Amino acid sequence: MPFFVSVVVLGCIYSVLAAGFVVIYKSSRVLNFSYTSVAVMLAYLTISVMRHVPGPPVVAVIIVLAFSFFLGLVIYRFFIRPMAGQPIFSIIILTVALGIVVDAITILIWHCETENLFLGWRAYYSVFGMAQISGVEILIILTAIVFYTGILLFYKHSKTGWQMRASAENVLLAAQRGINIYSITGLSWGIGILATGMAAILLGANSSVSPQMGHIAVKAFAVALVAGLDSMPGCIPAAFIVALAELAANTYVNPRLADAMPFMIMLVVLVARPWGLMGTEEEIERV
Amino acid sequence: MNLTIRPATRSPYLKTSYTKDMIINAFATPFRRKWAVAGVCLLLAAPFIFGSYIIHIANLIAIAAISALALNLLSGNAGLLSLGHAGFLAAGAFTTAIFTVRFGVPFWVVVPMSAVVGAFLGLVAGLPSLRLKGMYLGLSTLALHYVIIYALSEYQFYGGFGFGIPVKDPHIGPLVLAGEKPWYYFLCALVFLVALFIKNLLRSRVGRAWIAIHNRDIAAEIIGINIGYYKILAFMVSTSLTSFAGSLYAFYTNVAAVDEYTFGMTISYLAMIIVGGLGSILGSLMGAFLIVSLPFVMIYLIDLLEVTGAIKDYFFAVQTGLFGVVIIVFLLAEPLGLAEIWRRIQVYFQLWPFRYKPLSVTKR
Amino acid sequence: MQQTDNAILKVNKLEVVYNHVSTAIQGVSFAVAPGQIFTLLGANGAGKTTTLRAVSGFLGADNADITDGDIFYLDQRINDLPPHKVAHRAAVLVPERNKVFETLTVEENLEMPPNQGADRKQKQAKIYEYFPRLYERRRHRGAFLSGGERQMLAIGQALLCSPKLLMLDEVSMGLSPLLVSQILASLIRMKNDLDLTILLVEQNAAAALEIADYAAIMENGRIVFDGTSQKLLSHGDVKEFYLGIRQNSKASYADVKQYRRTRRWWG
Repeated sequence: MPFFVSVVVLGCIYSVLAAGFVVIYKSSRVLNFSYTSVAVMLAYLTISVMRHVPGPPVVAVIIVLAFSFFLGLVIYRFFIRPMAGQPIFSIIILTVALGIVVDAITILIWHCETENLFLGWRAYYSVFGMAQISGVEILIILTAIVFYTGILLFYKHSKTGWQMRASAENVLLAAQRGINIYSITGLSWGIGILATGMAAILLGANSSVSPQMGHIAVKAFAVALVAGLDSMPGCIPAAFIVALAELAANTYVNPRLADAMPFMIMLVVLVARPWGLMGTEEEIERV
Repeated sequence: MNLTIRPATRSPYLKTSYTKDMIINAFATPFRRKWAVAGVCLLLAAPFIFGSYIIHIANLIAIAAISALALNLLSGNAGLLSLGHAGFLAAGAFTTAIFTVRFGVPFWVVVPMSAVVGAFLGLVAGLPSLRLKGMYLGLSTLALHYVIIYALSEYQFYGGFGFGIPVKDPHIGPLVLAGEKPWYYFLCALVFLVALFIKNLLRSRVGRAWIAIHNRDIAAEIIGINIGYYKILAFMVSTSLTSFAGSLYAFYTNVAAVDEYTFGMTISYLAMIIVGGLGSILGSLMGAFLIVSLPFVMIYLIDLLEVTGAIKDYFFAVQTGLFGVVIIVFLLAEPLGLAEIWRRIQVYFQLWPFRYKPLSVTKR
Repeated sequence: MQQTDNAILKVNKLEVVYNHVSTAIQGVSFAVAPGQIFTLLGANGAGKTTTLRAVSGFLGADNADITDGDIFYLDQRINDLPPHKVAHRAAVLVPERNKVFETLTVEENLEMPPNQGADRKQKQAKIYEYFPRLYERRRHRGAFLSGGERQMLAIGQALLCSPKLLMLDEVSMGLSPLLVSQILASLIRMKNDLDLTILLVEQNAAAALEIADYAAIMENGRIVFDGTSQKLLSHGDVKEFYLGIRQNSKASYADVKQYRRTRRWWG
């Protein structure tokens, strides 16, 4: 039972982490390599905000989430949009460089100390009398559920969601049909970085905040790949599969293998089924 | 009056024989040849003008240039994204180290051996390219990188080598290749040969096949190019050159240490070819020059400005941060790289006083 | 150039340069009167598509710049406007390639244009009326439609952006002659029903001149001749080089060497 609970919690974390990746890929076809660096920075930022802003931790969380959204818009406007029409390769290198810069800023401002992100909730609850679950973990599960319900409904049924799909597929045609591709893509970057921030806070609260946190975030990339890089629904089963595999390896084999597990799964997916669980098959030919 | 009409034998656009047509553009006219000679003279004289620190940087640039040219061939010309570059460099370095230290294999054997090992790894890396494209292919090369690094780090650790396998200076017959100046001349010649080799390869049928595959592989297949064969060939040529560069690096720095060959190193090389200009040989050379010299320039500036405080304490972070900033600035300003800037300068002078190439004349 | 005071689209000495270096079109001037079908003819590489794209806006993807000249749409200068802003002003382009969204179905494609208004179901029903074949295939994805169906879908989608000026790039490309005349006939119907102005870019001069009111011929990036379609249909050079009608039925090899033949763009 405790194992099951850990899998669920880890799966939820991974799913929200992967979401930040997939949202951006869906709209801009860009693999956002600055993802992990931005996540770490946002976690540290939350701690600083919590220290300096009075009030319950929730206030800090809201501030940081708003900032994340805004950061997504800024990144799009100043770094991605000017690169319109350049090969995807160049844009990806740009995100890598951005990640490097963000890493440097994080180290300069917050140095390399490991911190604790405390959301003000020490309670532990009992699950069916067989396992313990902390308040933070419940929050993680709830956040994942709420976030995914919102995002999936958004993509499937809202006008903006459709426009995002269309402009991801064929930017020029979308623009010629009146879709304001600048604001659509900017919005998706905002949402993507917002999800990154959300995941970073949850991850930080669950373990601790340090530059090594980025390493955990890299696993989100493996999850996104298993899901299919442009599939939001796919993230959910993918996250749980990866979480299950990793924790099973941890418990029954060896923690070092557990660390490598997501990457091994990534390799298997690349070889056997590159478009993941629910990604578009044409992705392979188009990239 | 003595009106001499000079025939148009000196124009770079009008060739009067097949031989003249085949000359590489860089040496096609007397004007360019004069500048090439001047450049070579400057290169040859450099060790006598600059100190050994600068020449050391030049040597690092040269090795990086060979490696960058190899990556450019694969990712820029053939269009096969490779994120495993550092792994291939490490493979070359370690093959050299292992065979030199354990088996005492001489220099002129071990370097080709490293190239062969690289070619074999290229075969392995190339197999996924038959099925995957773009980012997915990049990810599979990244996975290969991690596998190679893991294997080598196990060897280094369990072999009791601690921080790295020491490599002695190479002997070519009675001569020892040690010190900056001998390496400098050796590497300059090598860079020239490698660049020439790649240039000619790109002008040959093989190179044209690669470019065709890069542009539109379905069309390439239709006209009869065996894309599987050429993709794997691209990988093999590129990785063997890369391992060759890795081997040189091990000999030059006298150590093969697995911790150096990180994904960050791959990123540096990708930055070199992108900032230089994807697909351009000159671009890779310029990119290597820029990216390798950048940290040294920063050290110099920080010393010069006597910066203190947080910046000095966290120098490494500042250095990498500035590195990222430079890449971003270049990508935003001229995404097609230094080669494009150079091209635009050339075109400006060629077209002056006009700004644009005129339309062809309407048929009469 | 036809003198029109209330031209819906007026292009004045337009010059477009690719890659900061190569001039693609130069000195292109024409005016399209409201309610007219105006066609731009020319061979491959003449610069017709470049002209259309200059009007409808580049997206930076092809390194193209408007270096000289003006484009006036409804008397407003629209140089360098991004494509979605041009579409908002009701000047809509049906491009030559990538004209539909491949992963979306026909229905979703037609839902795509924003701002269709409350009566969008009626508008979409009208599109199905123009093109019954689309209704039969409405649940199929764009990628699986045939060339003709794609063209119909592309035109339908463009119409749902409520255009005043509809620009069509090579409508007849890759279609059978029967389908071409069907689509062009529908275009005339739509023009009358919806009070459109149509700017048609075509290589198929015969089909285009049949429905056009006014035409201009482009060669090598310049407009070399223009006039009403009657004028073009009766001009000897147009007949020979663009319509394939020869003066004397017996052809000699001397005539085959077209590059020697001068084109008399006067008289």
